[in-house]
Amino acid sequence: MTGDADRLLLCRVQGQSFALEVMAVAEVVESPPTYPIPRAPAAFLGIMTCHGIPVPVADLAALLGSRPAAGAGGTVVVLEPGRAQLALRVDAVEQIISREEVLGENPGEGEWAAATLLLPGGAARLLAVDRLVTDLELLLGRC
Amino acid sequence: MDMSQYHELFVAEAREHLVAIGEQVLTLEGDTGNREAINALFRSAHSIKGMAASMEYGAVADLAHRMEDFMDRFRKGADPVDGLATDLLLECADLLGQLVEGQSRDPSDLISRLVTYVPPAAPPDEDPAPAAAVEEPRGEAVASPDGVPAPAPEELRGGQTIRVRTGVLDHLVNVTGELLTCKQRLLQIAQEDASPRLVEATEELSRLVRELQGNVLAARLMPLAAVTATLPRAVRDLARKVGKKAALVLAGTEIELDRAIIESLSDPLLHLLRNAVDHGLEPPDARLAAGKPANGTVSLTAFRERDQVVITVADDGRGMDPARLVAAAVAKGLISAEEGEALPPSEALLLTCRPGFSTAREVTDVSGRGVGMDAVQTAIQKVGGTLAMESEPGAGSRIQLRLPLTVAIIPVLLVAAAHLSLALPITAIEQTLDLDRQRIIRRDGRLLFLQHEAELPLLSLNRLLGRPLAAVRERTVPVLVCQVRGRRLGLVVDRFLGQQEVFVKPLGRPLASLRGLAGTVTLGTGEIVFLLDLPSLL
Repeated sequence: MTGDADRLLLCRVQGQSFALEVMAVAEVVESPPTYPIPRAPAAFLGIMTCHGIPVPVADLAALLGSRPAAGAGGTVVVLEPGRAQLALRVDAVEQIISREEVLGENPGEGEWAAATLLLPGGAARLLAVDRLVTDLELLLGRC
Repeated sequence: MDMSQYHELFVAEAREHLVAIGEQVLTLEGDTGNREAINALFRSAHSIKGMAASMEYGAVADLAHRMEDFMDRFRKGADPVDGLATDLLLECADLLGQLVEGQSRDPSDLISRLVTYVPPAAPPDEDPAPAAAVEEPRGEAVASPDGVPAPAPEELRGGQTIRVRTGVLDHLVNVTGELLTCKQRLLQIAQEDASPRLVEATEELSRLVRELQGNVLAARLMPLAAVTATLPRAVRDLARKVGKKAALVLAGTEIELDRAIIESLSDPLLHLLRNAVDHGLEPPDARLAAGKPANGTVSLTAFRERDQVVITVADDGRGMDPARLVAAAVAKGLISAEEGEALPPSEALLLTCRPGFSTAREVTDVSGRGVGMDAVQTAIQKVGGTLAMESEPGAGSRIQLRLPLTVAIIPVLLVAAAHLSLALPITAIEQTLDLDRQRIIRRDGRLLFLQHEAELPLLSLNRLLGRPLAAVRERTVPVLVCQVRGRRLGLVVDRFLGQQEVFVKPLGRPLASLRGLAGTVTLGTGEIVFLLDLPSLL
């Protein structure tokens, strides 16, 4: 039997595959209502509520250097509140797989890449969530 | 038996006994024959010894045991309590505190000094700093016929109160806050649907939520004494360090505030007292020359005024000279000479709260580099409080802190600015104005307006939030007058939306790093708005 610690959530952003450890994810929400965050960079699409907790939504594509999405529409991956109060907007969540399905693992390439995972359908960037949150703290601290 | 589960309880109770020891030693410094204080000291040392022995904390138990023996000499009247003995007891209390907090310390030297202690043959010299006065005794010590102190009344009553983990209380406040938000949503729906049955049910819910809110918030209240109990000792030590004589008079410390506010007061109060002792009070010879008693008095008084608690820290020292403060601020480039001339004396005192301001002739290791008043005001404003100052040259200074009773559920003013709804704590706002545009003065590219004979800077909240200014066609503009980091100013907003009592949720990682935001509030419409933190926004 496979527990959360051994599972990965795969999502797609601008044609690229990303993987998040399921342990780092609290919930996946479709098009939640959001409200603007004053002074925040454009990559922050707004703030939403997830089970009473205020959670800012950041556009993963914009964080990676693309143009931010026009609104918070799309799929939002809410991170575990113990790790961060943050949600990431992605284009789509594809599936949850077991680590056993990973064919191989190469060193990470690109922003916040913990590793490049070799999957049956192609490569996926395993997101280093803690590093991403720390970098966002630094980014927001400079605003 | 595994005792580790009781460690937290041990630490909490030991801390209380150590605070009581500190208070009683200071009482003994001022009144060497005070039997109540001697008995209470004995009892506290005895309690710590017993608890530590049960927990198998050998070093703590051993030191407390030796303190108990030491106190027994005074309890039996074999020796008078002298200044060296009280110094030794305070050293023991400090070391016990470190041991209780888990620091690795060797008490053998102190134990040896306790055991071999010989009281001075002649009466010791007059203590350079008299014991600080503590207003309220902590209940009378009751001695049994054989002289062994009886348990304190609180111990006898055991069972009427229980210790509750602070996490449970925090959770209760969160749930109550959510209920408040939910109630406001229901009210909104009831009004929109114009349903009399729903309105009636929601009004009943409102009454119940208000009652629950009152009880839950009351459960989080702690007496101010929780942070003031150690201050008489701090004033005593500070005064000794700078060669002054000072006593701290406490009053009203039974007043209760939310635990979060109490915790945030510790550093600001200590800093205000440090300033009073280090900069406010004159040295004894200068006081005598000015016709004052050699002993300076610093007071900390608290009282409740409606939904606020007012804490005043006052000293009878040299006071502050507004002209000197203005000259120092101009010399440091904090304000222009022209601005300095326009500042009324009451405003000049607030210059001390500007970042980087200090008029201390020299930096001391007691008050540091004068960065404190800025930090004090910021800390007070962070919990929704305000700071005001009064001073009379030669007669002393008074710093007044006004604090809300709670932080989690607070009244806010909702405003529209930068195409957003925003919330500001009511306590942060001195006044709201519809300012006639003809009263706005433009000088050197800056906007000012005249308010009670003072020229105040006029800033745009839109600009501060990085948004363009809203087009203004009306004759008046809505302005909030507030005091931020030592300066009064006006903030232009687009519209006032009204007042509301709200539940504030803190921001977590990473959004807490964004300056200017103190938390979020969910309105009855479901809209999430941000509570602004003005000091960090400006």
